[in-house]
Amino acid sequence: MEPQQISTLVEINNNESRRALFEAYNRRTFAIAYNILHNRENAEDITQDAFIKAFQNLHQLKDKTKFGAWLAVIATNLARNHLKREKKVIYTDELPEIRDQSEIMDTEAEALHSLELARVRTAVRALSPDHYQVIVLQFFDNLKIEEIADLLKVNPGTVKSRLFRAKQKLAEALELD
Amino acid sequence: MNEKSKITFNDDLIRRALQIDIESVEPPAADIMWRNIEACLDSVPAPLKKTTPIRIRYAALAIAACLLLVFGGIGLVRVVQFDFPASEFSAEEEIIALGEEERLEKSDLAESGAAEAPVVAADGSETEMVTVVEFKEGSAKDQITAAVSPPTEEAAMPLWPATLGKVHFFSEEIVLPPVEEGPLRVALYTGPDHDLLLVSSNTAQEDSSGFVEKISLQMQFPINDIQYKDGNLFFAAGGYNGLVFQHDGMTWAILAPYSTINKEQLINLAAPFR
Repeated sequence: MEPQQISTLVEINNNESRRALFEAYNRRTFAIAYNILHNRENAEDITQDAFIKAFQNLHQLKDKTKFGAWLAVIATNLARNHLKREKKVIYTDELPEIRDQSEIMDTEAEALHSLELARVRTAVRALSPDHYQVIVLQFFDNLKIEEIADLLKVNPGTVKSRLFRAKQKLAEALELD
Repeated sequence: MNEKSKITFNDDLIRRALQIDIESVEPPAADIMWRNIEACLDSVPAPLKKTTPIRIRYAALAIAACLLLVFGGIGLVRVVQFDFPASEFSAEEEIIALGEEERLEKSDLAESGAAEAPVVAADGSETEMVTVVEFKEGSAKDQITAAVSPPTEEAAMPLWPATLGKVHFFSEEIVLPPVEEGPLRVALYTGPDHDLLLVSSNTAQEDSSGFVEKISLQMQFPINDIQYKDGNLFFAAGGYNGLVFQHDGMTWAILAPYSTINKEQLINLAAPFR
């Protein structure tokens, strides 16, 4: 979805526009929650709650084009709080299968099937919610440090430090495997 | 390290791994989830922006107004006391009572030597009778005047200024034990950070260093230091820094705790007197 289109939908904020936003961001929000919680049922609840919170507080979103990233922040925060409440993390689910292998094979066949990528995925999934959050915002939403800091309401230095530590964790996980 | 662990780790790899991870997750049925979200949004009203309720605003305004009136009133009373001291009242003043003479019995009037005199208006016509009463000691009216007149001893008290340095307000007078050579008079001033003491000799102007000794003796503050600087006498006693100065034919001193005030500030505090 184009940024302008997202911004318009956020601006309208009626039932139809919310439905359109839900359709656009449902998969990735669920995936983010699922990658933190590793439990489909909990991830569903968190996704649902994240959308409700987002739609109820749309007026707080400064840059309307950043709806997706903002929703991701809400989802990761909710997931992290859920983990804190539960005080335990159960890694029960297996890595999800690649959705459409043939399609990806055509474009990135070698990379997708490499062992390296699978190991990186495992390492990313093992990150703490805070580290996973900044990794998603930087590498999936392609946000700058300042933009991430603004969304998370922390200093840019904190974001840099979290990114550094997240990468360090990934590097450690990949070497120790 | 085996071959498996030697992987090329870079941002692009993380980006692709994330993309695959997010795209490969099969989301739950969107329709059911949307219906739940919709139902929740319909049932729960959107939170309003945080605003202070009007009642609280009015209450805050009312409290502020009350505080202003109370403290403003206290300040005004102190200023008035300072400008119009009690000693200006005279015990022998003549009281002219209009309309109250009916309440006086004739015998009383005779005893007190009251005389009736007509009040003459500008056009020369008599308008009303005025009773001029001279109260004699022990008469019923004398009790009224006695209540108004302050004791003569208080007339000699130094008139403490309402404020010192704009932030210190007169709090109370501290009464020191009586001594033969004439007691010092001390007033406490309270401020936001510290309290001040204003000391007055209440007698004729006296020697500054002698005055410091007097403070030390009467207030039981051991003197730590005395020094003259730029025509000022500074001293340190009992945890206080002090400055002695002459004003209105009397010797005065301002004392403030060591830690909170320096010599410059003391000079500034004494400036209005000099």
